[in-house]
Amino acid sequence: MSAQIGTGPMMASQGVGGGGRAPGTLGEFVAVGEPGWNRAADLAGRARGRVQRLNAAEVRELGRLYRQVVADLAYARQRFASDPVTVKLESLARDVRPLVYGSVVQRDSMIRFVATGYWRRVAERPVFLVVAAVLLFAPMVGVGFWTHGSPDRAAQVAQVSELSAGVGEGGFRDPDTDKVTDTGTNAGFSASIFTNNARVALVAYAGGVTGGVVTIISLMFNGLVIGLVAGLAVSSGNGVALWRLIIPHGVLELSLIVVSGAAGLRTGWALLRPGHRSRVEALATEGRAGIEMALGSALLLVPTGLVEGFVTPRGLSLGPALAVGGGLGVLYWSLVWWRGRLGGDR
Amino acid sequence: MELDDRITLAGAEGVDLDVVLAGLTSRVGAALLDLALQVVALLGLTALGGLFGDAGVVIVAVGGFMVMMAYPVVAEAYAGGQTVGKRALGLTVVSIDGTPVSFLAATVRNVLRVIDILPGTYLVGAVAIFFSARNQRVGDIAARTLVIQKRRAGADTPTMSVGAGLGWSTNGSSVPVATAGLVGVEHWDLSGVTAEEVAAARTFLARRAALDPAHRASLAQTLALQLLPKVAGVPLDGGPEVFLERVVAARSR
Repeated sequence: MSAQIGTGPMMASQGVGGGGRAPGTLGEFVAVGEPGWNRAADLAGRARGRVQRLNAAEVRELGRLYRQVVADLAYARQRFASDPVTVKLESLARDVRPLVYGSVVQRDSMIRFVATGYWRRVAERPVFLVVAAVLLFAPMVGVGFWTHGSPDRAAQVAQVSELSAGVGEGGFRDPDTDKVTDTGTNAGFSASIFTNNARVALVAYAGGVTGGVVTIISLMFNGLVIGLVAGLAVSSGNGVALWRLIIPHGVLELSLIVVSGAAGLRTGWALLRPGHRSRVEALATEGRAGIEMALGSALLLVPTGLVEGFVTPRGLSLGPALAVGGGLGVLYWSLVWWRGRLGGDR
Repeated sequence: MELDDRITLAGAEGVDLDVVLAGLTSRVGAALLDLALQVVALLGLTALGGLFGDAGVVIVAVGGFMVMMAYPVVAEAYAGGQTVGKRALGLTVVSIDGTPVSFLAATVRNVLRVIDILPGTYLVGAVAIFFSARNQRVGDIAARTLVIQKRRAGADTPTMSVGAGLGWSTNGSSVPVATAGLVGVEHWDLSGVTAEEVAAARTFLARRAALDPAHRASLAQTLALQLLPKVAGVPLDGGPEVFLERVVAARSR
């Protein structure tokens, strides 16, 4: 197969070689075109969906062959409509097109996402962060005070949810996993906390396509449960012990849940008020921004889980616990403030 | 094929291409197959985790997350838009303009599966596929993706031989026709045969190997009887199929 432009019947007919004429019969058309078509099919077969599997010369050759195939197809549709050759050329063009026009994933796009992309997304629409935070913390504080005031009724309510059942009897349970926290370092515990929290974060995002309803319910429910647990612990005199078990990882963890909730609210708002875009368009754009927020937050839940599994169970006293938790929280939000404002015009 | 849902994708060259959208049944089939594989993988992980104590919990938690969440995303973004189940049923995820699906788009459509699966039976997804113009579930709409039929497994050979469509380059029995069978071809008159009739004959010749013998014979008979009054000089020895081969070969010369 020569690698010069104008190898197919149509290219030849346009006089690239000079004095060419349109292929008259089907036999001529196939005879001239077939080597190129077969070569294109062969290259597409070897690429198996990823053009990176071919070398540079083959990629360029495939691009040329694709244009030849499409030109031949256009001709065949006119001259040999509904002929098997036309059907085959259509299928070949369908196979090759994604290889020619697909965008190759940049290797540094992941680095850019970690360095700036994620933080920018988080900082982009602060109003949703505020709303998500209110949805999480208002029920938490409200229920916390109510529980503190009437612990007996609250203890009954607590039995309703699996998450808070058993609070105040025996050991403390981690509100995320309902597991009685012991003081051994526990890698498995970290891992299951991570997957649980990642699921909460992704569901908070996914709730966006319900117009944000599921996101709101999820945020408020998580707030209620934490408020209930905290209120019961404080009213039974275990407040300090509870803070020591929650604060080291909790500040960052709740921050990430808030960000994922904001991602869901942002997606939901796009559905409710799409502005000048169509609803589907708005959903696609904001949903793309939202998944970046939720995905980055889910990744950051890995270190959070490690703190929860390895640092928290050491039973830090209140001071160091505040230092670890506050430090992580401050670090996260300063990164949002610092990396997020870069190139605000995007 | 006309019963399939098709959409037309515009190409940069001004040549449009049709793609066939996947239907609900094949998508459910692919999903069930993937689910079965995932369940087997989870059982394997649980068995493996049991051997390692505390580290085993990590294996089960992280591995489970990989199997349920990461596997479909990675498969769709980096393995040509196909999970194992989709590959088995000839389905592919592509973005709405026909290009391969990106990592983020694959993540969106798989995270939003938790909505489509509601209330546990994919009812939301099924309703969305029925009522959306392009057979999209909610995750597809948000991610701007389509699930299309690639090629039905085994329907076509993966490497293409256009010559096979001409009925002479692959089918051994018909090769002599192209050369010896065309004796006296300059005296044949085929001017009454329309391009559509040639296309029909060629389509038959390309597919005859896959046809049931009785149907194949009656179809050849029908096509040949249609062409018979319009041609002159073509020898009739060898039966309807050889006659069709001769007409096609002479017209394609």
